[in-house]
Amino acid sequence: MKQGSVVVGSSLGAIASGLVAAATTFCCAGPAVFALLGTSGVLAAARLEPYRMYFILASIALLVIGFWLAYRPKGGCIGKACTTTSAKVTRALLWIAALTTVAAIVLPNFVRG
Amino acid sequence: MLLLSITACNRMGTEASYVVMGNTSEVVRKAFNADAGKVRVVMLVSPTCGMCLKGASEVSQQIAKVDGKKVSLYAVWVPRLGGREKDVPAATRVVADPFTREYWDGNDLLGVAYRRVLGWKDDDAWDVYMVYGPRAQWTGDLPPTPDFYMHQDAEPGLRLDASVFGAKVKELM
Repeated sequence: MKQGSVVVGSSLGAIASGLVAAATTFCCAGPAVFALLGTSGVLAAARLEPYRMYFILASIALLVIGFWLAYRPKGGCIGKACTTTSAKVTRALLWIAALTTVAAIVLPNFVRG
Repeated sequence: MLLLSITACNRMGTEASYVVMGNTSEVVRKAFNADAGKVRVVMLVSPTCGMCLKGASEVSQQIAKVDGKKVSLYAVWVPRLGGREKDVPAATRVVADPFTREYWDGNDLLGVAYRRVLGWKDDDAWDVYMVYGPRAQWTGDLPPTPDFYMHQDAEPGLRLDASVFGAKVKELM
């Protein structure tokens, strides 16, 4: 149970870090994003932009912890039969977090000011 | 949550009035020359670009610290990154110096002009912060070459560091 909480925490932390890292990309993404975020939002994104790499690194670190805890072999438990519903949920969260982090890494290549 | 909290903590002032340049930069030229004897700082910034807003905020905070009688700040809002005139009022809130002269350059006249003045090859000038000494005069069609400038674009030149820029302003005073 405690391990599950750690995995969920890692996943949520990675998602949050990834989202913030992705958001920093939107400081200069154009009028559509400006319409969503407004002056304060794009200004905040620009202020966070220098720290983008730290958010990505934090995301990756949390993902490493989460995946290791979620997928490491457990004593006496081998194969799909040992995967509980809660474990499936936590693993799904992890993959969502991984996708968020990948998006944060590749977004600057597609969002150009 | 972090982004929202930083957004909430952004110190932004009230909207300021601005002048629409129209088809000529004459209004800026006249103001520039009328302020002869003062150090003048000219910013070309987009109202919808986060980096421009950050740059304008930081540079104006530096200018606000010095004697307003010795320096004048001009914020020229340009139509880059989809910026439109209706975006200017909100953008003026990031400029800390209340004595700033603000302009909307809807035809990007100064962006084109400064591209030639600064020798930029790939793009019109924007997200650029320029400082002129007290003796600078705008006599021709093009604005004079600044004594110092920094920018946040991909063109060659110094990347904006507001504290370094502020020190340069004080040096020219």
